Amino acid sequence: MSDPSINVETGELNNFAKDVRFEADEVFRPAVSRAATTLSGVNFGQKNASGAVHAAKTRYSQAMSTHIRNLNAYVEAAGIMAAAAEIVAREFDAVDANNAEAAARVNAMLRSATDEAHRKAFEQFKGIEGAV
Amino acid sequence: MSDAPLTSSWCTAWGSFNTPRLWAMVAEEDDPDAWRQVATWGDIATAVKDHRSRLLAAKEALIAAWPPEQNLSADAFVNELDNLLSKMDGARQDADATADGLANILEALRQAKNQMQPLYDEYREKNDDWVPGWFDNAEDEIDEKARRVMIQAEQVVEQNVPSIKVPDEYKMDPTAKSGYTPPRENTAGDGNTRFSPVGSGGGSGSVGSSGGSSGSGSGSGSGHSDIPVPHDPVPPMPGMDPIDPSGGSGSGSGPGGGGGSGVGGGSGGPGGGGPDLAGVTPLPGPPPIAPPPPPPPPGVPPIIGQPLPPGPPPLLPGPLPGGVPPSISGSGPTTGGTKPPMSTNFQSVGRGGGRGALPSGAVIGENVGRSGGGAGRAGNLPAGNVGRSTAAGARTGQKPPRPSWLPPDEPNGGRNVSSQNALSGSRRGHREEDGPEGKRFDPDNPWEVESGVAPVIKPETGTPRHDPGPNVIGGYRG
Repeated sequence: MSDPSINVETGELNNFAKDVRFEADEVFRPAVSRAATTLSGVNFGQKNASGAVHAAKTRYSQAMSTHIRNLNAYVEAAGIMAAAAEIVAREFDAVDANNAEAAARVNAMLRSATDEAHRKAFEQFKGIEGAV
Repeated sequence: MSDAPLTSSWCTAWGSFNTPRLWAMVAEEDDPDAWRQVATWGDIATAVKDHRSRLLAAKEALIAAWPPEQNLSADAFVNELDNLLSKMDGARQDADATADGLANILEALRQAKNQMQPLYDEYREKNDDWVPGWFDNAEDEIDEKARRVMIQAEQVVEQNVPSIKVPDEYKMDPTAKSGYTPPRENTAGDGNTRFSPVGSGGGSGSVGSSGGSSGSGSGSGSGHSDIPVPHDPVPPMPGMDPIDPSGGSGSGSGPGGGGGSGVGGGSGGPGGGGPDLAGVTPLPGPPPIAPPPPPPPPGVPPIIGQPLPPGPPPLLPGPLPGGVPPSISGSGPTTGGTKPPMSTNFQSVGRGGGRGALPSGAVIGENVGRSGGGAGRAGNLPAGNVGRSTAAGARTGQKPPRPSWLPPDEPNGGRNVSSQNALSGSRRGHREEDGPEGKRFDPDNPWEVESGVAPVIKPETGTPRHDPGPNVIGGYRG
């Protein structure tokens, strides 16, 4: 099923997965965690009756909340990409095909990795890790 | 981007706030935690940039080994990675912009605080002088300056609100590209993945078998925020609207007359001139009837039981510890600590306050002509003050409690403020720094009495007799 004309170094896929996972888990995630600790409240204009200050507070609150969610999503996305790369490397024969089906299959793997990441996050959130 | 307000939630009527209130709005600014957040935004930008750089490097290595131009599967993978990199680049720029915008806002509020503090101090000094605020309206000019400071700060804040970036929510969703529907019990790499062609209608078919993305809070609306917005604004002056319905800037609009109904026992008069009490909620008081007394020599405070300097009135009785309501010796008895002094003093005025009419400006119920050296002084006092004092604090002999919105004054080593009196208001504490016994006369609170001290005047023990005296309804008619 694979295309023999394409020389793929599966080792690079594994390297990619390893590098990205390390960077996400060991470097970026702690930075996001520190940021989330600091960006946990609006610390100005509490008693100010100004409409502009209120608008600034409202917008800043949304900015903090959305940015922190996105940063966590970036960490998660990096982990998903790493997991998907590992899967691709492992099942390279199945995906190394230059056709639409192969591309869809990669997306399927990404989706599976996404679901897996969400499942783990959900279990951690519920405190039932290991139940599955 | 979010549809969060980009300019102003409403137009503030700054004329509804006086200097103490404006000071209260900015007194707690320049919070170190807020400035730490500015630095954190910078850290975020750096972290995102570094992370993106490493992802980019990993991507370059990946495509060298798995070229997307030769492999659609690699292309799908790299596309998703490019999307992530693009979002991260935007996040870095947004974090930088937000850091700048936040810093500008904090700096504007910090400068407002720094400019407001001397105005507030000046306001308090004006309020502490011997000329009551209702007479010289000295505080009005300071109020205007304070409002200009706030308007200036508000303009800077308004300009920088758009700099605070609310990005679109990022969510990795390869399903939309592939149309893939994962099986219910599927896990990554189990080899049982299945997919279906992308429908023309774009139906994603996301089943969400894994129970959820609840951990990451994947609300789609970028306007959603789970961080509360602290908003406890200082209230405007009584009877005034904090929001300008006309949409004007509010500059130049004065607080209006402070007249109105005479809560303090006097009717509203012309040109109340607005609030004039620092640290207290201004009460609409009547206008001055008589000019203020000349200031006595400094350092001669009115002390209970001692001759008063020219100007200060006799002190009203107030409740003392133990529930013994003092009264002027020889005057009618008081019936309890809760009885308003007005009724009690009405008797004292009629009985011993002299045969003549009340002095100009005096109000029925004052201790006119009593207590020795204080005779007649109350007549020189403005009715406004009397009425205000009666309503606000005569029953307890103290000013109204310090409003909750006013931050505590900064400790001053040169001030000797007793713990109890310090609660009554900033002016009081300020006043007590002078005088041989730390007391000065307060023209805005002429009936101030000590609390928590031994009584120097005691209630009358005899049976009260009602005698309104001459020139009173029912009195002498010639």
